[in-house]
Amino acid sequence: MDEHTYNEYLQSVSNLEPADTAPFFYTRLRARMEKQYERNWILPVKPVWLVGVLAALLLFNGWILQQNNGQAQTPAGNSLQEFAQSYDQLNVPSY
Amino acid sequence: MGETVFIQRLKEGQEDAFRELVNRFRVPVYNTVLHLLQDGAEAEDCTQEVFIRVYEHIHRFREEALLSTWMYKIAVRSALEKLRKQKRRSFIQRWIPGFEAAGTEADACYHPGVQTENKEKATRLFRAIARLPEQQQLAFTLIRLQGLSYDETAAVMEKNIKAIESLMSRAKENLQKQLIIYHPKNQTHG
Repeated sequence: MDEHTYNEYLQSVSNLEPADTAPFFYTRLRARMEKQYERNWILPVKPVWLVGVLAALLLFNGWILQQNNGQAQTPAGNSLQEFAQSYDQLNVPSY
Repeated sequence: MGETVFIQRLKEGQEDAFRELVNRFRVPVYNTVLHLLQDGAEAEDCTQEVFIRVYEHIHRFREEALLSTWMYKIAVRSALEKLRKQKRRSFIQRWIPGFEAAGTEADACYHPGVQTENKEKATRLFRAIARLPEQQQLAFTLIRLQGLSYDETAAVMEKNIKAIESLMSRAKENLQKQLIIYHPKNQTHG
């Protein structure tokens, strides 16, 4: 394509009269902002953050459960023996 | 000095300062996003989003750049986000059988300022601009349609002047390639 034809195309959009928004733009903008902030008062954070925090809490919960399970897995016999020993200590002859 | 005071008033959340900001930048912001989105309603919606973002983030503005540059940056970022969403949506819609896209290329002459005798050429050019790669489209829009200087465009796009010149040169080549289909006799000139 030659320069002349290309420049004709450029000329067709040069010195365009700037377009403007529909009337009462500011009023509509403020109304939208107020509406948005009302909604934000109910839900102060974005849903994505809420889901993230929830997922972190679930992970933390899982980790705590795993830790507790590890501690609880002591041999059952030990606790029975401990119980029997303590019973013996209490079983003092009364004579 | 006046600008600093004005920015301070904005940071303090003064209503009259925000109104002044909207009055001062409404038209340039609207025209920038209109050229990128090529749709009046979408551009108006995007312009509102720009001012809401500015209102929420004005405390982050450090006056290292001009307020106008910062405004253009936010406008461009918002419009590009919208444009990417539109492209993703139309890509998905293409795969839905029997679905017809709402906007067609027939209504490409979106700008009310185009004179009647220029409408045909302007429509072709706007369509071709919309098909440019994003960075070329942005540079061309800011310089040729919005009337920004190379320096201002470089600041808005966070690039150096050489990069902007290169983008403009490639944009020109691509536009010529696209527009030549309307001028078969011109094809031999390359």
